[in-house]
Amino acid sequence: MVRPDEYVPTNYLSVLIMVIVGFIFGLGGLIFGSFVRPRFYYKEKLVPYECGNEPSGLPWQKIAIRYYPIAILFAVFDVELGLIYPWTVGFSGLTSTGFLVMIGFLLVLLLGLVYDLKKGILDWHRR
Amino acid sequence: MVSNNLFLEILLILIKIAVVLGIVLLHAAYTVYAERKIIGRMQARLGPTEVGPYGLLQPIADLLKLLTKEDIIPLEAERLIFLVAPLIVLTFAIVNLSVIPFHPSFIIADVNIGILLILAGASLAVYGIILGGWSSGSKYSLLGGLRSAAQVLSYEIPLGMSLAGVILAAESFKLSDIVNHQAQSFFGMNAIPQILGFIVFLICAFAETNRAPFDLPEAESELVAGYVTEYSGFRMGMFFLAEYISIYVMSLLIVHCYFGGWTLPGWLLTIFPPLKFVPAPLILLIKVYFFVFLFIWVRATYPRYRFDQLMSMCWKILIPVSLLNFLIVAFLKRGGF
Amino acid sequence: MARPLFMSIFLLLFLALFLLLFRQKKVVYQFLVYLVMMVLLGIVYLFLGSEFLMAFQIIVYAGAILVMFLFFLYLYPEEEFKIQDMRNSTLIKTLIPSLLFVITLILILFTFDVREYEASASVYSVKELAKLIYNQYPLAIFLLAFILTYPMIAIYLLMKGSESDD
Repeated sequence: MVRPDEYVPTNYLSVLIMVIVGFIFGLGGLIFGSFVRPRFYYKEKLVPYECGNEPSGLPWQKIAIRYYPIAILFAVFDVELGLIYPWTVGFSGLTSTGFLVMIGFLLVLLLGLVYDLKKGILDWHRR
Repeated sequence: MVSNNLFLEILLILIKIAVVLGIVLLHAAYTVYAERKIIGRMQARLGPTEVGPYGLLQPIADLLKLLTKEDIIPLEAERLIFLVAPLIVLTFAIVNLSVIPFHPSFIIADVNIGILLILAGASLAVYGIILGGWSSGSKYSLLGGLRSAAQVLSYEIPLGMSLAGVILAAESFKLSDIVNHQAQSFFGMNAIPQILGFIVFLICAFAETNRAPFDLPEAESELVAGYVTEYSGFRMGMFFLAEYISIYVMSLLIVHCYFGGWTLPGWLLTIFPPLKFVPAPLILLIKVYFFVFLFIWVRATYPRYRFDQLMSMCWKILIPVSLLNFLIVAFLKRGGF
Repeated sequence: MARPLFMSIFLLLFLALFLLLFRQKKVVYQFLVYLVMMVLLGIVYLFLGSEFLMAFQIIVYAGAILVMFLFFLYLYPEEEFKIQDMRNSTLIKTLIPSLLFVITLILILFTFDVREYEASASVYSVKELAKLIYNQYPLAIFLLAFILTYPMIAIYLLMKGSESDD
């Protein structure tokens, strides 16, 4: 293996080029389109859509807090996923402690999820 | 000398990318046509017939129309974010193609963490949805973006969990290793021993690509067009192109992870030996076409879910089931099966 | 030769983004700059030789935890963020600890002899990493499970608190 202070990840070059190509593809379409598309703007056209009415105020109001638990639960389970992946790849090298600790980890998290579901966090029609 | 090599290498990569993008974009364009035609037939209509013979030039006409449409930015929009959001979605949809092998020896980026890069790309593409919905300055976009973001985020977890079962079976993140492991296994494909994981993955693939029956952004009766409401012209086209590319990414992932990619299971070959002479890309192509057809078929068949049903299905059914699938695979593998 | 070049580019980018972060007036743009920094940090991990850590950084930090922050945009209108002017007094307060951090980092960089350093195999290989963390530190993983259940209970309390104004 190469020393860490001399390592350059060359096989990721193609991923980088793919990112650049993807970006240029979208941008190129927009730039090409800007030559051919019409520009005929007036104020009524630029008003956001609201079923034909005049929009009543800006949209950025306080929206239901119900969506926020989903973001938090997602973060929790994403950390869990990040910890599962090395466990799955190094599976054959694990001792029985290493095997059982992950099973316990998953069961504790499942217990937490069951707690949240029992308390009705993710029910939309509670009342 | 070194720079010369680097230049050649970059040229080679660019040629590979051009081939892959050409094939996938052509397929994505004609999937739109196939979808309209198939759904039309299923609903006893004809579908597009006007442009070209049998309407075959319809995708090109659509592209030209999208390019020449006006590009409207609403007055109250956050301009920069509004402009960047579709680019984020399209870029990360395209990047996912770079780690998927199309042939035993054809892959753009042969990296050790293939599947994880796809998951990373999916989690970064969510920003396009959230920011696009937030910056439009319209109430429908805001709510639609929030709903789509919540949907995509929720379904990423059972998706990752069921993928963990596949990774555990092969003990590698590389898709080519996963395919080779399936070819050597007893059943020949992961879909039979991991049937629970496969079903969960299939449902999540529909939800991740915002397709029917989970196409909440297109729930016209409630949200107009979701986070795409204020987008017009080529920007809207970028969102839709990204959707169709990610249909192909998801179909390729299903085929590689659960149906053995370009290999056929051993028991099938012993029953019917002439199948050995079928070339590998043809096998892959037929399997992928089947799953793309399934995406269209489901859209024509199933009614749309309500948002609360969608969320409770994910958290109450899919996540526990995918955990169960993972535990079964882990215990079976530990037991030596 | 390529590596020092890339590393200095990353250093300059980090410094530029750090200054850009404090110059933004709107919270969304601060989020965006922070997101770019998170992804760049993942690429720095890649240069340090750990592919898995890059994926973990992008999936968990850039993909999950920042999305959690970003959902705050939907909770409050923009005006409520504007009450605090983040640009002058806060900048000086936050500059002091970060400058201390940068100075210690530079000190370590110049006093530490890199040639003595031998990376363990767990840096490169995910298999070795799994052996290390799951076989040798099982208690830490198990404790982490309980730490992760803490936000799940916190959600219930949060929802219970906001029941009245919902």
